[in-house]
Amino acid sequence: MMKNITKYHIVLSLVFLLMGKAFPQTDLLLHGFRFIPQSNYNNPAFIPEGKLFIGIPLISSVSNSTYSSSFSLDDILATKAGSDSLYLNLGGLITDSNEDKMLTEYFESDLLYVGFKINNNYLSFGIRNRLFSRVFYADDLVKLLWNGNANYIDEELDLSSTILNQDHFLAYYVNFGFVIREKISIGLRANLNQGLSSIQTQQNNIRITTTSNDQSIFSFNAKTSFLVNTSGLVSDSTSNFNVSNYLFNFQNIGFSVDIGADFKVSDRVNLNFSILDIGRLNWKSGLKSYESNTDSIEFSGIYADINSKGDIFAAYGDSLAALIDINEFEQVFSTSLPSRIYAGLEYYSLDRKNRLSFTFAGTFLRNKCSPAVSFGFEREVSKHFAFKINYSWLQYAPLNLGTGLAFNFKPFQFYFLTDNVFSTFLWDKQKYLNFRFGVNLVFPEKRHIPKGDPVFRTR
Amino acid sequence: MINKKVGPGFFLMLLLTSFAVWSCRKDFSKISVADWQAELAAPFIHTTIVLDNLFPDDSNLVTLEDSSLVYFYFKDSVFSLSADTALDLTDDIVVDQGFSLGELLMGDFGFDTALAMTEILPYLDQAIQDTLLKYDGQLTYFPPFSILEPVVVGSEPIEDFIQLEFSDGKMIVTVSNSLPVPLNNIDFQLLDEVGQNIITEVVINELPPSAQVSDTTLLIGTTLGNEFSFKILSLESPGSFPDMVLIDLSRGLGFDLLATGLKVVGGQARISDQIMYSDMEMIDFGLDPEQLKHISFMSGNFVYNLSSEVNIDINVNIQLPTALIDNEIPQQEFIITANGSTQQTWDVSGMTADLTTDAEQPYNRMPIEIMLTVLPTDNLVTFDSSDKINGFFSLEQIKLDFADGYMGKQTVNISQDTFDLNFDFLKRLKGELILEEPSITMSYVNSIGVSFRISTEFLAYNSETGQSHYLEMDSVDIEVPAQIGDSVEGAIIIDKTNSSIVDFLAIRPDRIIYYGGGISNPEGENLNFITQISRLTADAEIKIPLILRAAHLNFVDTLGFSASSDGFPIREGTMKLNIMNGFPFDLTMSMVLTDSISGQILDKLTFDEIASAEVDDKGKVIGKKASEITVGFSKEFLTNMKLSNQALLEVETSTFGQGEVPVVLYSDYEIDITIAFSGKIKP
Repeated sequence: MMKNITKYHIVLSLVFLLMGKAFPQTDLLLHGFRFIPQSNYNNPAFIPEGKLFIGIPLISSVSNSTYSSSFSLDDILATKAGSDSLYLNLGGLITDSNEDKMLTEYFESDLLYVGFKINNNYLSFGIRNRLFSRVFYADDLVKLLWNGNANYIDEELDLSSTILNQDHFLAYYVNFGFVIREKISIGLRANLNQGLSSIQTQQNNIRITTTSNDQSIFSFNAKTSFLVNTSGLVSDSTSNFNVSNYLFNFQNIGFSVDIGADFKVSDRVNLNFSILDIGRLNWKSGLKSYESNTDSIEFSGIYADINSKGDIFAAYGDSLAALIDINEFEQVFSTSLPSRIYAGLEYYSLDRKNRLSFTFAGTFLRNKCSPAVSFGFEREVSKHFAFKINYSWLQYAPLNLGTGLAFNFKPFQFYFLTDNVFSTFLWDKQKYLNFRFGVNLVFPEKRHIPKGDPVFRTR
Repeated sequence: MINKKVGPGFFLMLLLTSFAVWSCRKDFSKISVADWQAELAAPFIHTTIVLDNLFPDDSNLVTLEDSSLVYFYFKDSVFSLSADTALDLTDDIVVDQGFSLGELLMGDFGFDTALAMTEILPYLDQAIQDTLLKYDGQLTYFPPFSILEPVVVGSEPIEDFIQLEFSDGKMIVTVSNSLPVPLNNIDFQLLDEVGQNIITEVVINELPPSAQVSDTTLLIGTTLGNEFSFKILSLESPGSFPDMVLIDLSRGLGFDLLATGLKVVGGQARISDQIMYSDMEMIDFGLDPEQLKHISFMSGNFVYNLSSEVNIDINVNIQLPTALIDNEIPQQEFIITANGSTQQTWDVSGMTADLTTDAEQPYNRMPIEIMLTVLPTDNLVTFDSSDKINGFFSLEQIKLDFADGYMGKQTVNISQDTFDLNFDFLKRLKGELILEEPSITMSYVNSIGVSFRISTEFLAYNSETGQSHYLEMDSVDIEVPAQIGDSVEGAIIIDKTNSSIVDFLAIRPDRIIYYGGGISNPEGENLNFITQISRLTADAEIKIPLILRAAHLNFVDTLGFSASSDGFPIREGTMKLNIMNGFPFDLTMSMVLTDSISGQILDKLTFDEIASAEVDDKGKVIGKKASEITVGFSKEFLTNMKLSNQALLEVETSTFGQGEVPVVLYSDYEIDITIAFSGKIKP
């Protein structure tokens, strides 16, 4: 039993640590990259250049962002001379600072994307598969996991700031960006969100102290109150996880809106602003909440009867398991989406083929705003190819060089974007990993791409 | 210009290639957690071992009121002697006796007859006949005469018998002369007409007138019929001349025969009543060496079987003159018909008897008085003195109620038996253990009024070590109750003052074999008594107070719990023990991991120097002693724990003061053990 508990903690930790294998959701490079229709995900007011955009289902936009406040994979998985194995080392994560650590994961993929111009306005709709994971963990958690408790006798290990929140949902949206007097674009995206699964740490007050004393030599004293709500994750021995039931569960419904504005200050300067993911999800099905039945526990070992039969270690494990007295129940709950804000300043060349941009992004997590800024250069080389490079500063990952490439092979558009180009080849050394790629069908306005005219040779 | 030479396809290919190449930089299938050295410190177990808990299956271990521990082993009836042991009356007591008819008394018999001259005349000379006839009734000279030929005078048959064989008696023949002249040369024979035997012949030289002469004949050995006659062979008379006498021919000789004082041993006669047999027989109980003075029976039968070969009815009277049933002398009277038989069973329950009345052997003998009376017969019966009544007398199915006397010196056996001791704790100990105050108490209750001297042998045997030891002890006299109905309780206590019991138990036997014997009346003749309910029973109680000294005592026990270590989260580390020892032992404990099949010891973890609690001068613990022990355990130990299928607890211990001081074990002694561990977590 003890072994299972330990393994559970290890696996749980590694799940979040290894999420870095994927790539951020700040999507600073995507911001304002109007060559790609999905750029209006960051600002509903952005109107891409083209007439009709149809995303290839499932692959029109696949993105992943992993943002760790304290470590990269390389920080925790080291190689040693003469060995091809990776050695897990969480020792470097222990900082003795009081600041909570964070690890976020944001995965998104389009199931459907359709957009088209209506005059100068832009209407799009589609379905987005979205997964938000936010893990906040206390430094003491890493201490406990990596060093054990033996080095912290008579010290309190405060795990109360450790939180796991995760929402998985499908967003059915309609986005409408319309131009007001050619200088202002206003965009609004209304999302009907179909909740699929959720884990929400509602409350955590876990603190563990290992005390030394004469009576029991060691004893565990812990405050144990916590409340975790889940939805959509219930499976038991009689009913296996069913993908169909999972995907077609329409009982967890929420609404959110994204709003944005794009101001053409002058022919060369644009200002844009957007607020995304304002809304909530209501979780009403597949519920299971876990709550500690006791506010505190004390464990001084088990009483062993020397004449008793049975495995004493098993009895010991059972006693430890019995300490974790968890009440399972069903409780309707709701979660807020992690709202983001974007503000951008763009400076265009005279032909508007080149653009310098400054972007501020903030993600609200646990009532805190995680800021990021980016400076970028974008060039629309031709109607067939555009690229963008940028530098992004994130609070815990200050050095990020981003690259975005978009190719139009009529009618296909391929694109690949990353806020941190090192994500692609030095991803194991990055705290911020981000990528987005996709394939669209792009039908430009005829006046822009003469038929049969090669992109590079025409310019 | 680059954009002239390089198309967007190139960038795309470059992008995908670099992504693919760099994505393979790390092999996540080979993640090692070898550097994970997390150390877990955790409380593990705490336990309080009360001394009592160490012997959960030791049913013989008893806690006394003062909480001290004592091993008790009790076995009832280790030997039991009943009244039968001292006096065995299980066999029937039989007397076979024949009663002959013997001599019978016969009444006198006889007859008288006369021979008148008229009857003699024919045997005289004619002239004399004529003369006498002529002068009959006249006074004249009675002429001399002599018979010319014998004259026979017969008699009537006697009715009371036909024939008799006499063993005693006499027959008197009286001859009288009623003639006025003397008779000379009288010669006559008394004849048995039936047997044609001459009973006697009488010669009388002279028989004066009016005189008579008797002749007596002894009949011993004579057999006579019932008809007699006189045969006169000679008879003369000189006559009366010169005297004249009255001649009366009706006168003559008179014969009188009388048989008297008769005893007969056979014949055919009419028998008068008479005692055939009257005597005292002795029923001897046939005991040796017992010499009983008095006895009473709880139950039993006096059986007699009489079979008559006598043609006469016999009246039988049997009496036990020294016995009493309901304060009356038991007696029975009945008739055995001629040639008949009878069998009677006489219930003698409750009968008491004095067995001392025989002066020659004033013990073991009970007189029986038997009187047989011949009843008178109306008819003539044939009898013989050898005719007899066969008597068979027996005391059967007797159950003793009481007896006194001297029961003799007899040996008694105490059958071999075994105490199967289940001193579980002691059995497991190895090493020198001195039990200070063991004892074997044989408690007995004796209601047999016989003194016994008992000698019991005890052999202790330890089947595991093969050691054995005899208990050396003296024989013991059993106390005797003072009077009937009493019982006396006593105890034979075998302890270190009178035996080698300390050494005897030092081998920690699992079996004690006992057997023995004894002798009654070891001091010689005594007045003993027993009753039916008399018993000598003894129970044995082995009592071993756990007051002991021990040095380097070992015991090994299989831990009841298993410890597979599968669930143990530690791969190596230390085990910390806080021990509050309330046992008066220094302890070194080892957890030994073994393979129960091969017996191979895989590993061992030793907790050393657990200090003994201190004891007072009586050996009682006065306070717990604290010990702190830290023992490291390796990965190999835990691996071996997994391989092992048996964990043994090996304890080496010495009592307080290195075994020099006796300590008393109390059930409430306890040792508090707290175990925590600290070590690297198993990945």
